[in-house]
Amino acid sequence: MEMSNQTVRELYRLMLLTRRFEESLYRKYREGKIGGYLHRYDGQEALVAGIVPLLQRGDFLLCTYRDHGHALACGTEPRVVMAELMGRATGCAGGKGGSMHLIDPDRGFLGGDGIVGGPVPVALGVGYALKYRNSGNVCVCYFGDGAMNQGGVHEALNMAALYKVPVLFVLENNGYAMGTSVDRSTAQPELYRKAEAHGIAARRMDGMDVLAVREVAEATLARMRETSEPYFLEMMTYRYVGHGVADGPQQQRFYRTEDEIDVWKQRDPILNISRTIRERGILSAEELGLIDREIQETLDEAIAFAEASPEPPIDSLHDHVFSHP
Amino acid sequence: MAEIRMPKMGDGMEEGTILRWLKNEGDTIAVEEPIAEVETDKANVEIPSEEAGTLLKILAKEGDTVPVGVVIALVEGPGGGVAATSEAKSAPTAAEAAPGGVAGQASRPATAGPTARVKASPLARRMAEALGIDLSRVAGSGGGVGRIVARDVEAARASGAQAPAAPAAPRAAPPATAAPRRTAPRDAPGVVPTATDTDISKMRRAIARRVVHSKQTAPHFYVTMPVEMDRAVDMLAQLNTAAPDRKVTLNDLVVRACAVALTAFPDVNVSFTPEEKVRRYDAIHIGIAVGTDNGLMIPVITDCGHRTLREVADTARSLVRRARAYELTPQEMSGGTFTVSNLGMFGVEEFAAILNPPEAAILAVGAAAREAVVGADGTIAARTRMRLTLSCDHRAVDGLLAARFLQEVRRLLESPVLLLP
Amino acid sequence: MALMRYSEALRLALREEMQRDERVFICGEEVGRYQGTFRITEGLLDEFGERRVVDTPISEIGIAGMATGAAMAGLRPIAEFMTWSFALSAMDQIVNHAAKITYMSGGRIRCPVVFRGPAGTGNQLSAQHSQSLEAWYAHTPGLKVVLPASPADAKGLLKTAIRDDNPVIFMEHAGLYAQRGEVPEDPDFTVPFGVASVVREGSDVTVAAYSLMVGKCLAAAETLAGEGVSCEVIDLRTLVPLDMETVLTSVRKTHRAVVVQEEWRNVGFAAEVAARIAEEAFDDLDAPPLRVGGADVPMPYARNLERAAIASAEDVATAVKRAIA
Repeated sequence: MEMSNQTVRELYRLMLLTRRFEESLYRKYREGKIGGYLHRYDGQEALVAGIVPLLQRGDFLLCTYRDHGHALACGTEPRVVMAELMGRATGCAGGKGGSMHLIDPDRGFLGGDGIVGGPVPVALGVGYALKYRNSGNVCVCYFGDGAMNQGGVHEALNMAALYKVPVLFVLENNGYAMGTSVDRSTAQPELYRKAEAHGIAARRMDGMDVLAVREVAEATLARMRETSEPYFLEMMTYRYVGHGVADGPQQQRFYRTEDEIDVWKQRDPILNISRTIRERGILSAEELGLIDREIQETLDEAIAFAEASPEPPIDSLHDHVFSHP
Repeated sequence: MAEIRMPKMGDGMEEGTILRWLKNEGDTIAVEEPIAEVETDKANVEIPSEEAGTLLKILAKEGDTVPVGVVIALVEGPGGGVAATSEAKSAPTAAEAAPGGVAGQASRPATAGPTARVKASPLARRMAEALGIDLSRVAGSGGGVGRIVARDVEAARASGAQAPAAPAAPRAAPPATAAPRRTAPRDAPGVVPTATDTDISKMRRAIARRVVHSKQTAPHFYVTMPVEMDRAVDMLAQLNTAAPDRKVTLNDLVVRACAVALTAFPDVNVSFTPEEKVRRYDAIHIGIAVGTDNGLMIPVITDCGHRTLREVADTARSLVRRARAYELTPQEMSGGTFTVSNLGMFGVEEFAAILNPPEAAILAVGAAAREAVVGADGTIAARTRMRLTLSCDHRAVDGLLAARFLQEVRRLLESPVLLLP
Repeated sequence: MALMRYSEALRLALREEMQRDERVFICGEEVGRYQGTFRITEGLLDEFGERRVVDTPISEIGIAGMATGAAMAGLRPIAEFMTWSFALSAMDQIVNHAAKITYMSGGRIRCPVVFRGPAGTGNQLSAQHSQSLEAWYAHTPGLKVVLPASPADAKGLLKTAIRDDNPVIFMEHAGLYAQRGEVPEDPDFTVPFGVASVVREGSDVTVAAYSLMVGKCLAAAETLAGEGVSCEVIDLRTLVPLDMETVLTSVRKTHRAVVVQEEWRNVGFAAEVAARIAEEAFDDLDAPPLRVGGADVPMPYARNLERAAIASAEDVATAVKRAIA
């Protein structure tokens, strides 16, 4: 299936926005304007760009604490994400959630989740609700390779298969659960096989090629909307930076080499798509430069907006512990 | 101008009560002339004037209780001016010195001493404040710890606001064995048993303070040993037959035995000082506990180490007689280094005594009675036995020393000729 | 009004609410074909079908996640735990997900889920099946905690729980299932949260309790009445929200308080109530507030040891006597 130029352009733009956004977050973190852990998505952009834009009204999205790209991909305004990360009242959760708990229910985004494996049982429930309503909607749930060793994930996968709920489980296999490689945490490193064992159709694929991801996702989601059955995609990918800000280069030496990172960077998804754009002549150098400038403007505006935004009022401390009718 | 202060007239005297002024303001007084009669912890004594001149001003009224060292009168020396010293002005009067008004007028519940925090429930405090009741004058009955609770304040109010209240009866005593049905609710005054608080004498108060002080500061331990007294009893019978008007008692024999034993074990004849030193006394002054209707008195037989048994007996007889007549001077009750307390004459088998501060040991003497004793050869024989219990201040005396000392006392009593002449 | 068992009252509440609101469904172990381990869901599968009465595998994380996710996606799930002891496996889903999503999202996501099942001690079920853990949940912001003590409250409070927009911890007591009482048959009958009930009026001591212990307190109060001691017994009904006003009003009258719980005495809910009494009614107290609770031991099996470990009516009476001593 040939992808339209417009789509390719959009995928490129989204991945570059995500990359630049993460870079700017790190600068703001070092300026002391962002707190917490800050888990960056650098290198994994294709997983989100290739799938999330395919979600429709009524669909749901859940993911891990590495969630900035997911928020951007589902259409949450960068300024609102930036404001949340800076703990401002104008943030997507009013400053109550922060980096790990970005959220945008209006766009079906039920949030990043700070617990490894945590969103998977929730996704089962979301999927059950979709099936309950028989609306033809789907839920996409991202989680990492570390989550595959959490008991609750297997309970949820088993039940998702049992009840045939329309959840697309996207395993972001970046090779490391913090500092522990997949090889060192399971004797069955072909993780998609574990989903198969639960009776869920599953496959492993390259997560660095956004066009391939998009293609597979399009087909899979379309089928799921028909069958209302779960599917499991193991995406092979890589994160270039540490697990979180605390996992600096010094620390990373305990579990991986510079060479390994360099090898993966050769296969960088943004580099990949740039090559395609050039080869197919989809965008001129000027147009690429324009996209770059637009993104920079967007980021500048987001940062200015966030920095100008007020902190949440102290008297809102006790708001939202409970919902009130 | 000179000041006359409440003198210290014996160990442990902290205050005295003016019983009677023997001189009036304006009277001329001579040095050493008694000017007032004062009740101390131990006895009633006359205060001699240390000054000659005219009694200018009496500062402590009869009945006032005045701490030692406080000015009680002013004397104008020959040719002196008349001016109250600032010290005299600031010296607290008896009424000021004793919190809660004139000393001895109102008894005070134990929980509400001058510095003790009053234990009261929050509700009781609020009620007392509203009713204008002084909680320090209310006795508590609550919580099993004497806490003043609402019903106590109620009782105080009912019995006339400011008057000291008797503690109300605790309600529904917890593990009521076959608890009688509680019929009267808390508000009915009928269930409160009547009681009377009695003012205590100075002697009673002194005893109370001394024993509390002793038990709280000196860690006591006790060693008990039986002593066969057949020979001692025989010897006393012989002695007293020989000289019926100079009777020697069993107690005299014990005192003499202690004196000899203390000579052999001088480390028992000691005090533990507040500076954390052990003070060893050169002389052996043995106090003998004498019960009187007003309370315990402990006259001291001085220098027992150098007295014969007869001399000990003569001195003891005189002191006991004077104690019962309340004729003892404070001096006669001071300076003890060891005490013997004997309840044997009342049939008490054995008991443990509280140390008489600052002494480090006290011997409690039980009754000498006939009992069956298993001999070394396994035969059972009737013997006269007496149990001695030595209480020691563990800060100064260890168990080993106490045991050895007691062994020595036993050896002497079981071979009483050693205590002669 | 109809005379029915506590268990029947619960079933009636479930039926009425499932009839009333199509979004309500039940999931849990043995809730369907088996008709419920304690027969609470008897007949519901026949009436409402497999879509709304969902038998699950023995997967507490999956059950809790399924209910939480479905609630986040707009349904009103009721998750049944076979006993609350088994819910310990699901703590992460309950505490880290259900309880927090509303706050983390700045109030943008609701989570109207009921977690229910039998709790409590007794029947020689020994350490892992015989315990009372309500304080754990009451400790967690974002959870409402409900423990009905009578058939009428079982119905009225469960209906309120199902209609509430927040996660509700609904702890039934296995020892109360067979208790009979008058229950309003009116489908509109509910019992509001946060309203304690004065179940016996008295003047000497306030005795506050909940769940099974209410009955023991009433028994103790009856005994004490024979000895001339008048107890006011309060059923707290809901620990969160907690109706302190009713408790304080009573304490201001009696000036003494005994707080009774079934759970372990150490760091139990009674300590919270006692502390609030001390904080808010200090000047009205004539005695320290006292606590009665279970022995701080894993529940022993032997009948005599078990009896010694569970707070009895006699323990309540002894505490009351201590309070008025």
